[in-house]
Amino acid sequence: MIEARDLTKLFSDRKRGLVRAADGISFTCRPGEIFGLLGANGAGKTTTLRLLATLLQPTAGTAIVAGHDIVHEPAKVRANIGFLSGNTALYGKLTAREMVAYFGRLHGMAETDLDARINEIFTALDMHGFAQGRCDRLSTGQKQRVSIARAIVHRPPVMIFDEPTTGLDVITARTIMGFIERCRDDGLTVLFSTHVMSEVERLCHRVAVIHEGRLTAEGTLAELRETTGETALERVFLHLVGVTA
Amino acid sequence: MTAPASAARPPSPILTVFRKECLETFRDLRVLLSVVVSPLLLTPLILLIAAFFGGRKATEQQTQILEIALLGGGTPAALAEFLQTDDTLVFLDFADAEAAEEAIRERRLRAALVFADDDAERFAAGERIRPELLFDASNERSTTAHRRLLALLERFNQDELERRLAEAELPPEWTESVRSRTRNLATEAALGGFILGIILPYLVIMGAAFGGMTSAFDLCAGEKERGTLETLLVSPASRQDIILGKLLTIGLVSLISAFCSVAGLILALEVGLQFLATELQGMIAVSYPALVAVLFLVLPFALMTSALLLLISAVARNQKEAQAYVFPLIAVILLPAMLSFILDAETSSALALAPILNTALAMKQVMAGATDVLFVSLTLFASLAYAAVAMALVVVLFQKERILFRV
Repeated sequence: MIEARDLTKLFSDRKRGLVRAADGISFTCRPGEIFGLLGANGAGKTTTLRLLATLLQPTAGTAIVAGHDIVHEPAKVRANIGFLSGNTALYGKLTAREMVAYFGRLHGMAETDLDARINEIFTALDMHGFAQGRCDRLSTGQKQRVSIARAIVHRPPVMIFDEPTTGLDVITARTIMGFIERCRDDGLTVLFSTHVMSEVERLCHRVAVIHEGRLTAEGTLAELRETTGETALERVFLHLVGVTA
Repeated sequence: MTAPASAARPPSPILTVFRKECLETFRDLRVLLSVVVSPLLLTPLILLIAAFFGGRKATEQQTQILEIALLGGGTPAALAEFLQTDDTLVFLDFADAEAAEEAIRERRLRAALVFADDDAERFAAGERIRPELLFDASNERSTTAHRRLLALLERFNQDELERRLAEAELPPEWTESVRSRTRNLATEAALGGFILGIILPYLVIMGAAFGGMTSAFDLCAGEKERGTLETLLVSPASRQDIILGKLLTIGLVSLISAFCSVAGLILALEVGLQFLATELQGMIAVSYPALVAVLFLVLPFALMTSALLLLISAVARNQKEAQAYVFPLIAVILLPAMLSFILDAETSSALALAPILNTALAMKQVMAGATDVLFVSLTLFASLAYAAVAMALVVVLFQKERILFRV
């Protein structure tokens, strides 16, 4: 479960002055559902996800992730989340297996458990064929599977996806979408940020729209359509962020 | 059967990061080339080639046939006869000094001695004559001819002085009231260590300071650039553990670099001693216990420079930016390292507090077998303190969101 309570992050910028990257954001994401954060580039999605992943400290407010407070128990929060971003890269000189094992060890997994878990994931994702291949020599699809394996090796109850399909081809993007659905089916809490409407329509139970750091609307897609009186999700989004067609 | 609890226990995050970074670092061809191959193979090779050609040139200069002219009507016969005993000189005839000058400029002649018409008579009368020695300082062979003629004239003067003293029935002591005899108390090892101590600290310091540069920039700025840092920071490992694991890796690479720099130099000396023996007159001797002490002295220094490199790497957005930021650090380290060439090893204890210079001078003392225990101890403590400050600084900086995410 993720429960964001008035999450606020202020930055001081030389050109723009005080920037409210996240401004009092509150929402709840439950186990077994995919919660979408929808917003344009620079709306505050990544900042919100970084706050939840304890990469950034909130200026005000807090969040409870997997039962732990992001301000007071950041290490416990990180131990319970899997984080996958479209910009995530791999360590090129490590093999696929070494890469996943490294993150397993960082999560404090014992070697025997780690070995068994890696074998289980590599079988599930069909990765044994390139397990000993160096990451910088893998195809984009293989790299993405290594990233997924790295994110789930420690069996996290919460998964956070930050625009995970950015820059990927259709086939690899499909793999990622399938993986997100599997996480939901396994009862994980899934938070998913995107600006691609088709992905929202396919995956999300509920959606929060972020615009200029503020949460402008939250609800199921049906609720948002009803609120705005629009049918096409793109028009719903534009309506909610105050852009008239 | 289950494994014992201790075997199943995961290693500390610092060790996990350190092991992974070492694995990646030593798979990096750039690191292997700059840290191991270059100092172990290229540096000795360059030194040997330089020594070989230097030695050959020195021999050539001693045996080179040079064209000389004796001009003017007043050449003392004894002097002409003495100079002609040197097989490496060929005497050419020229009409006058102007013609000889032109020949020297055109490199047909290397040097000329121009005598006044009455020089032979004045020489015979026991007077001092002052022939003019013409040469071209911009020409290497002419300079060699100049040097060789001066040496010959010096020898001739000595012989002539002895002849004149004998003729006047005066003892040699008449012109020289005191002549000392010197006895060098330095052992060959101490003398060799002293000479090695001049160049070795510079090499070790440069090796330790910049050997880890590629790794340092890759481990932090490189992670930012490639987008792996965010993933790493989402793991439960604390930022302090992560940065300490990285720091240990860079420290290890720096130490290996310093070790390879020393090993490369020693290899060059041991293998190429026959070439260098002529040049250095057998004055290089290697004391292995002193070398071990040098590597011990470099430990805190390597930790400090590793922390400084990591600091630059943490602040920079990417590796290119880190390379731009490193230039002031190079200057800051280069200056004291070069100062150690000219500063006396037996120096004020206050200098043991001067970062970098203290390590270089302590190494110089150790190599010369003149270790000042107070100076070396102070150096170790000061270096450890500076390393601790630099490490604390990089740990604090690595917690800053503004630095890590440039927000």
